[in-house]
Amino acid sequence: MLTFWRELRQNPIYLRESGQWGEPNATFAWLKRYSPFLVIAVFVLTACCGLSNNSFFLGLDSNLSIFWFLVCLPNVVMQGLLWAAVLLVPALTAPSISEERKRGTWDMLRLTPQPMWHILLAKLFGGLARLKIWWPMLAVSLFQIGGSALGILLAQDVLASNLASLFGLIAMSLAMAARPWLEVICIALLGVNASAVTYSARSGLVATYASVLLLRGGISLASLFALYWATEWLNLEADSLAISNIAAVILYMITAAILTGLLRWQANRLDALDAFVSPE
Amino acid sequence: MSESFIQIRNLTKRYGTLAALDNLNLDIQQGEVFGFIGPNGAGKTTTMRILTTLLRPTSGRATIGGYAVDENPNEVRRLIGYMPDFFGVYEDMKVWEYLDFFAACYDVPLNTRHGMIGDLLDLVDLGHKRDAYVESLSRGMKQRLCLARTLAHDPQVLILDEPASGLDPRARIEMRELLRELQGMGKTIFFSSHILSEVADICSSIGIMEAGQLVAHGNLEEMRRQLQVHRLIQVRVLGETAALKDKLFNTPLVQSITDGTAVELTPDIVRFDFTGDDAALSDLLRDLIQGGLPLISFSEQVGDLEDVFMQATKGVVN
Repeated sequence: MLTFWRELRQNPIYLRESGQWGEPNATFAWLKRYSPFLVIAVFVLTACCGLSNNSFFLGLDSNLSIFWFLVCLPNVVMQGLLWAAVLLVPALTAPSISEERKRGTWDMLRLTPQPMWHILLAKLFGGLARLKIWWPMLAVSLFQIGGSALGILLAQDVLASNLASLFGLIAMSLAMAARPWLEVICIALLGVNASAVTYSARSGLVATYASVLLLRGGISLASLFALYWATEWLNLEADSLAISNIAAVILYMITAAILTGLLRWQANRLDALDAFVSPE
Repeated sequence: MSESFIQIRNLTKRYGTLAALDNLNLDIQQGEVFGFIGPNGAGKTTTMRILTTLLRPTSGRATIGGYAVDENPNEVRRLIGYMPDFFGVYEDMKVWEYLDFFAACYDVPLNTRHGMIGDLLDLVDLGHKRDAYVESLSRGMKQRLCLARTLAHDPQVLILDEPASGLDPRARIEMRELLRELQGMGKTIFFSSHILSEVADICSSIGIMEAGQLVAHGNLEEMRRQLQVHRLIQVRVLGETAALKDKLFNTPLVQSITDGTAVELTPDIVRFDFTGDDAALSDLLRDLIQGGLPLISFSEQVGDLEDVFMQATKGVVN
């Protein structure tokens, strides 16, 4: 894994996608010019979705200020980072192949000895590398995990007698920390997959944003259904946040696996000698 | 004879019922400069895309350096440098970055890339544009840069689809000189062009395509011979041409006798088509001299590539 990552970071296509050889992505460059509007959009979306439940305002209650600081605040920050990713990751990945094809450089790239699977991975991770949210995301994730660990330590007497609650709490913490990462990976995979079948950056972007909307909406609905199923049919007495997050993470993992398989298939298809050619 | 470096056998490419290539057979030796000419839609680009591993043939076989293009595409890709007719460039890069990027893609080590880029830029006469952005280059410069890109991994074969299309006369001459230089470096060059004089000028062999078929192949001289069903002979006499024409009318292998004035030449010239071989032509010349005709000159008019092309093709388009 480490060797793969080291090789990938030396791959010229990865280096180009990550902005070290010119500006490979005109769409992203265009979006960057409007970054103040993006920041506003991220704030508005976070305010609409991240603050929609009352938990964020629980900090006004001085008795719950620790809970607010450990759970609510990082959750809202993560929501903000996730919205930035939802807006920017399609712009970084969806034009990656379609723009090359439109520009007439795709065949030249195909003729290099770089394996097609490596080209696609380099496009995927190179695009993601341009997003400057990874360290904040990692910090928030670690903070969330640390907060949960602290909670477990503080409540160890209660949890020791109830192993189901202990495991439930650990699973929920890990799920809450993993969910945004999986969401970003899925969006990036959707972007590169869409790019592989489209001929222009615009159609790639439309396909990706539409897929992201369907994916996020679908998984939110599915996790609500999982919550209903668990509480009504299985009579599980678990926290709704835990069940919906664990269900969402499982669904995102399945989606990521499917999309990776699809990308592998795209690599074989693009590597085939007859990919995207028309008669003279 | 050694095995050809590029070998094409019964190569066919069909798109539904349309045969873009129909049983093409071709041999190109190492170091040869092969010019591929033909009208639009003749199958030149299809052939090139198959050779460059970008297109799978419907049937038949093509090999480069002994590697089959459909079975060993990676080996073939290392042997070839391809410049398509519609080529894109990364406009956002600097000229040296563009070459550096492709050299890195071809696994050229970092420590050799710097010197190699300088050499390539000197070769294509773009050394002074090293730090310029690609978007600021003229079309001719971009074309030369693209050619430099095809050379980044030092390929043995260059496959160039219309390398001089859209260039002004000076850029065309520069491109021709560049191809000559590459020929001197021992590269095998396979290129297509619509500019016949250019092909005739630098190619060691030529192939003429029409409607997916190779209608003529060889060096210009061989093709003239292949295509020549009759030869154009021009005779100049002292004074009147009536006696000469009388004599020619009675010669069985002579056809289409034309006065010089009819083809914008002087009245003492007569042109005719001769369907015989060299021996018959020699006999005719002897008969004319022995018949006492005051001949000043007797010569065969050699057609250029345009004549050969016009004779070889019928204007059929797929």
